[in-house]
Amino acid sequence: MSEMKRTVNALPSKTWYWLKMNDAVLPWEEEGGSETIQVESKNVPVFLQVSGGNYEKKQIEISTKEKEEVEVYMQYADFSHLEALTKIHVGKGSRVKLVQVMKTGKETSLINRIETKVEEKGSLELYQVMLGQGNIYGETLTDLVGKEASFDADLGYLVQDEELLDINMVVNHFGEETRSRIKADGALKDKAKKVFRGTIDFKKGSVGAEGEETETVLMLGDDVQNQTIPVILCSEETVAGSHGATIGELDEDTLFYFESRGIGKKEAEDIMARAAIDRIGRLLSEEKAQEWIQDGLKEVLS
Amino acid sequence: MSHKLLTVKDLHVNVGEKEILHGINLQVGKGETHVLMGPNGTGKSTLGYAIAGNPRYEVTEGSILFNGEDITYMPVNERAKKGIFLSFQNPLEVPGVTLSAFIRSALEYKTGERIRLFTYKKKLLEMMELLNMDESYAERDLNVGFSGGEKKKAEILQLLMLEPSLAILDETDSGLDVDAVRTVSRGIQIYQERCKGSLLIITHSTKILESLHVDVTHVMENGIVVKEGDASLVDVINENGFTELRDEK
Amino acid sequence: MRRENETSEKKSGRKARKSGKREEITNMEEKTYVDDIDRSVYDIKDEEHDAFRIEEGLTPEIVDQISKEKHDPEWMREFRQQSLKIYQELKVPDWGPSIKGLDMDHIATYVRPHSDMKNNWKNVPKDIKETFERLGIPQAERKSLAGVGAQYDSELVYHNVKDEVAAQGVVYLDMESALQGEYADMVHEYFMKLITPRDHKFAALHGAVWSGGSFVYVPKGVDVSIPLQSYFRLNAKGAGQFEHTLIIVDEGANLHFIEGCSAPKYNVANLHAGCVELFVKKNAKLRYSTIENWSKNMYNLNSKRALVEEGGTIEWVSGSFGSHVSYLYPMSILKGRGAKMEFTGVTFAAAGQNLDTGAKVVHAAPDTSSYMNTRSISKGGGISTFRSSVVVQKNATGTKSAVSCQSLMLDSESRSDTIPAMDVRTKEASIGHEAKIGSISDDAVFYLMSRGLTEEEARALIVSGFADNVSKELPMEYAVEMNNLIRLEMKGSIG
Repeated sequence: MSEMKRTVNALPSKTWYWLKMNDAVLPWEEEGGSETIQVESKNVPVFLQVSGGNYEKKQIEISTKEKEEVEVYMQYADFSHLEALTKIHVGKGSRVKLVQVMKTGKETSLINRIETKVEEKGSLELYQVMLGQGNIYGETLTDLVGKEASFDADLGYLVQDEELLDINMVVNHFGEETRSRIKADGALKDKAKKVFRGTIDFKKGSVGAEGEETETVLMLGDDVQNQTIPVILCSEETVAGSHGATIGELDEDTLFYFESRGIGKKEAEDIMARAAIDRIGRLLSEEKAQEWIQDGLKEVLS
Repeated sequence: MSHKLLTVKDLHVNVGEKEILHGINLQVGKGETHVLMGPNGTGKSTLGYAIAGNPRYEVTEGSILFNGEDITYMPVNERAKKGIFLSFQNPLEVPGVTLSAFIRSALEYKTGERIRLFTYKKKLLEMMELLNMDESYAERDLNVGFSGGEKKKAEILQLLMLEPSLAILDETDSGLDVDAVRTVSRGIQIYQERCKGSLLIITHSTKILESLHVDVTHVMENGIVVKEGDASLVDVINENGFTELRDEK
Repeated sequence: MRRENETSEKKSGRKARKSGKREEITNMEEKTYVDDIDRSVYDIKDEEHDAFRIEEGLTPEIVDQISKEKHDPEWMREFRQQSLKIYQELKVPDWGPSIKGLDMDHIATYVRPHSDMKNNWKNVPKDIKETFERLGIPQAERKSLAGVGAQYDSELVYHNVKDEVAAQGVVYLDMESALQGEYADMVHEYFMKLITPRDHKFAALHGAVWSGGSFVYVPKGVDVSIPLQSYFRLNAKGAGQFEHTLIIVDEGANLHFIEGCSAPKYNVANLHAGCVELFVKKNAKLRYSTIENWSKNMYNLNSKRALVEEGGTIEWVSGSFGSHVSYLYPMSILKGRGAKMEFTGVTFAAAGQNLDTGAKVVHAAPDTSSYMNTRSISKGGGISTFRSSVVVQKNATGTKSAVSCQSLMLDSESRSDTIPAMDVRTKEASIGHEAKIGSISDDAVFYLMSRGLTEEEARALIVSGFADNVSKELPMEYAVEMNNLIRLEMKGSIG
């Protein structure tokens, strides 16, 4: 059987080919079945288990009308190759909160995509926790269409052994005074590899828009590899955009602080390796999600 | 003869190429409160960092003994486990790690045992209340967005929770308003009472000492100790500054 | 778990490399200065190779003709022919601004203009002439700058400069002379070993048809007292389109080299595919300053690269103002322990311009550091793209890198894009990056106007101030010229 390939996570504005960062290519098959799950707004949070067989595709649809609120918590487990696409429509003045906790099995591949359209004064809050232990490809495409639409994303990850985490986030600011904020923090151990592409695109007409992207990568293994491309595209004068990235190992001063309290280097690195993920856990008020995260951490750190 | 807790003998310390301490001699007994004073830039903090073991401060000559053990070249975290605590002048922000988690980790590594969450939390909140610290700070990322005063209180909170046998406080009162100084001072008193530990308080102002019992005062200048005395020396300095002492020599 | 998106490197069409010797060189596979660094850093991927095709007009015969006219040594003639072959294999880049306006099918005409394309002053566009007027360019220089005059009498100034530094042992020659005389072997050792014809299509083109340029050698320990400037070496034919600059700063030496000028350089054949190769030896320092203001019909596809050895420093100072389309990313390879790179740049893209500029650095040794500070301005429909790469190899422990790029949008017709990339393969590195984009603050404009400036003057002053990261690194007269240029650009009346 010939091996088909899938290209995912493509940069909207590509750069030099020799960097090999323009997109990700992986072997994939289109054989598996697919299933669609509808989520409509409810007054209680929705909990979903996302799983499947081999090369299955799951589509989760979250749609809201005007002034509605939805909270969806997704936990991923039990599959070998899975593609999950979450399509979100945030109606006028509505608020969608999406929490995705990914702790996958060893030797698995996950393509996790989110496509969102946000209308006037709507907001999408996204929390993603990526714990491995397979390869994870995450793509999040968000169109801030209406005036004052907003997008906030907090990502936390821990990549170990020979795992791969490949992320592509694209925020398109169409409407006036739209706002986006992306924070992606995590740690790489052993021989892990991580790619982060983050694009903020201020389209013409997005007067008064603001977009911000920050990334902090803690490098802890001797054979780790980190690739980062934070992109800002701009066709509108009156906007404010910024991005920042900090990559490196535990800095001297922080290490000394830990050591002066009796916590040695290795222990300090262990604490910091999970810090980004612990932080996201604290941002969530929902106990069940916190449980997923703590259980996941326990398992991958054992 | 009572065995001294800390003995610093002819200590020479370099920062980079430059020698900052030119032969410090100092002893602190168990349960004693010592004050280290001197004008700015004279090496007081350097001595504190050298005793704590910061690798940037290189000992070129001399020795440091703690409880009779030579710790001159011992790694920082081992000294901390043996009971040395340094409270920082400018505490660092550590995003991602809460104040509570930080202290609990330190306790667990020190004792080598798991701490029971309930007991721990109870004591933590008790100490926070004594320090007039709002309990919400426990779950906040360590020092992130804390005011100067709250950062210093967080350091004293660590002192009270970790119960070291020697606490070195580096300019703990700098940048604090009157109320905060009082609170921090109270915290130090509580440490004195509960732990009966030894204190080496590094300061160039004396406000914080007003309600503390001081056993010995050391005055440093240009990298050496120039004068030693009892608590009354503090008052002398308070009134006349450091120049009087220089003239005396 | 296996990495799924790592494809194996196929080096198509390349034979096994010969080892070592540089003396008997006749083929392309000889060792370059960058072989010991991971070649994959700038290997061209398979997908970029076109099917073999013959370019209309640019034939081996034409290349031989060029070679003969220049009295090339045999190895250079061979080199040109090999470059031509590579040129025909490679594809035009598709990740940057469109170069559709370049007539690729008749590339020969850029090299050998048809006789009826001969330039004369009458044909030079009016706005170019007006700009000369406004910038106060002396009459004598204008024809030369416009590519129509005979040798400019700045030859005299050039010779004086040359004599002054010759006293220090510095060699400053035009490239063609350098190939013939006592430095022929040295040139042979270094020529296009840093930027090789394989790097990209226009490097290959350059290898085939290069002409003119400077060769500079600074002996060990020499601190060159005055900056060397290449401006004085404009010649009429070709107006520096394919010029090659090769600079070697030997151990412990120090040089400041300035290229370009603020006056627009015009040529009817509108392609500039120059090459700058800089070799900074152990503990040496080289500052390479450029103000580029090619006329607004030009395609500026330049390649600049520096190789820095142990303890060496390369400083790039770069102001990009002209050309219709620019591809310009000075690249630094930090090959020796403790090598350092600093890049300070400003790019101003106005109406009709698409300037894709930035910098690249490869950390290939321990304790190296790189700093980039760039500003870009977009106005009146101009497109400015900041494109960079910071690559830190596994052995480059102790690397420190900081990149800071700021973009200013002056209106909503324009575009400003920032595409920085970082690839870090050791944990013992400290990498920081920040970028900001915004517009001129209304408050600042109001403040200046309240002190008597017109709105136009206020904006011009603010933009000049924004570009001061570069102007403060330039010698006074260049800084003044640069600010004049900005002022004219802000008035919107430059050609």
